[in-house]
Amino acid sequence: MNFQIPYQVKANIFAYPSYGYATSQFEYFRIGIALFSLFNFLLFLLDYDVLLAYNGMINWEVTNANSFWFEPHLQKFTNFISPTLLLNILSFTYILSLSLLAIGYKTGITSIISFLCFLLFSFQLYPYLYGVDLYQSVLLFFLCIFPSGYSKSLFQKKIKPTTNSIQQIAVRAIQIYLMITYFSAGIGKVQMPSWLNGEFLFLSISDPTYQLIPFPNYFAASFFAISGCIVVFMELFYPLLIFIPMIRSLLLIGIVGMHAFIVLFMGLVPFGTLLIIINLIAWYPLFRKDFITIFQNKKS
Amino acid sequence: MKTIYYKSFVYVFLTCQLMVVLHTLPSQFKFNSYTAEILTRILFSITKVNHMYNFFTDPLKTGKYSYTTNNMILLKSDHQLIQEKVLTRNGSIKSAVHKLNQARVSHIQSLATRDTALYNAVIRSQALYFISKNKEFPLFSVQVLNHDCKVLRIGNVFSRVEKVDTIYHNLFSIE
Repeated sequence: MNFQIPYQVKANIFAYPSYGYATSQFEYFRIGIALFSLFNFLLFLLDYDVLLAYNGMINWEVTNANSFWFEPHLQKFTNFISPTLLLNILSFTYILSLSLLAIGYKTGITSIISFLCFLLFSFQLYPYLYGVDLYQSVLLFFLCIFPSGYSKSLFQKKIKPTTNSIQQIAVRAIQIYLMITYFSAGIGKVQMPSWLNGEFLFLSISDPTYQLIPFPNYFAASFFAISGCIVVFMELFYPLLIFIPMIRSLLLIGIVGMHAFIVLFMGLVPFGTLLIIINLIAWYPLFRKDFITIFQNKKS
Repeated sequence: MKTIYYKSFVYVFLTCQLMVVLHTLPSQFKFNSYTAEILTRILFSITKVNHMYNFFTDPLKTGKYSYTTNNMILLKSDHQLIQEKVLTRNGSIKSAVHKLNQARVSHIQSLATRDTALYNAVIRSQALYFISKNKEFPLFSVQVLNHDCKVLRIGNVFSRVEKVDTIYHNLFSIE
């Protein structure tokens, strides 16, 4: 049997730069992250008085007391400007910079402004933050580092000849970042027997503090055991399965399904949404390739 | 040539990520220098990679499952009768926010088990917030419960068994 490893072990992570890469992919990434960040911030605005305001449920003084002296917490500026005005200016700047980033206006500057605004908010809001905000922070950081180009921009500009190869590096970085993330999640779960016998999944789904839509409780124990094993398998072998044609498409469908489940039944709406967006953007060229292969095989 | 800088950045960034996964950063390093500690904090404030993988309720990977709930009640006396207004639902303060933001507030009470000093400040702030929003109720009561869960398997059906302990209980008033 002639078994060919598509990605040589000896090769460095930037070998085969065209594998899983499509023109404008990093631009879709920019648009996706900017729109998601807008969505995530608009959710905060829905509960402005509770979450964001100076005298909200967790007062700024509380989070400021827990910040380091060098962290620019908003409370530190309130000697010079009123908290409400400061919050409104910052919110307006953040929304404006994310909107401009999404439509591709001065993407370098707008991504840096967006990232800085996000950082400022994160010092104030950290008791409310969880995994999704950490992902968002890293992904916005990527946008500050790598040029995202202008081919899908409303303000088209001529790009430098090296931009395309830099974008390939950026896409590869995102892909490997996802691999590390899933692998580490998988390695954490595989050490827990309760994940493999379904108990952990059952308990986390029935945790009343999580639930958005209650998951039906009539499912058999074997359902949770099989689902738990599938989740562990997908996450642990994500970095390998993503290189196998057709299997990688099944993996992506599984990963998207898993995050959709998290959105619906665990209430982690922004988290599930962001992970679906990132997986689709990072791997759609491979998914498209598999789809074309299936279509051509059927035709012939 | 320019791509070398970008590749170098990616190598450094992903190495940091891997070191976090392998638990070699940052707490395992004993920084003696105050400056080094601050520089590390700045780096991780920006990238936040050091918090990246702490998603689980069970960081020791023992497979045990526990969660924390709280009961918050506003109280007032009315003609020698105690009237109460329940603020929490399903053990968390979900009802105070939009449905899509519930996950952001549903675990605040777990600070009581992780960072008691911060929780003391947070709960005072919450008491102040809810009393000022409901001025007719001058008293705020909070009880935080830890639920240690076990699964009971009968045939092919799971059911949950819990050991519940009160880990925090307090009363607050503005006066």
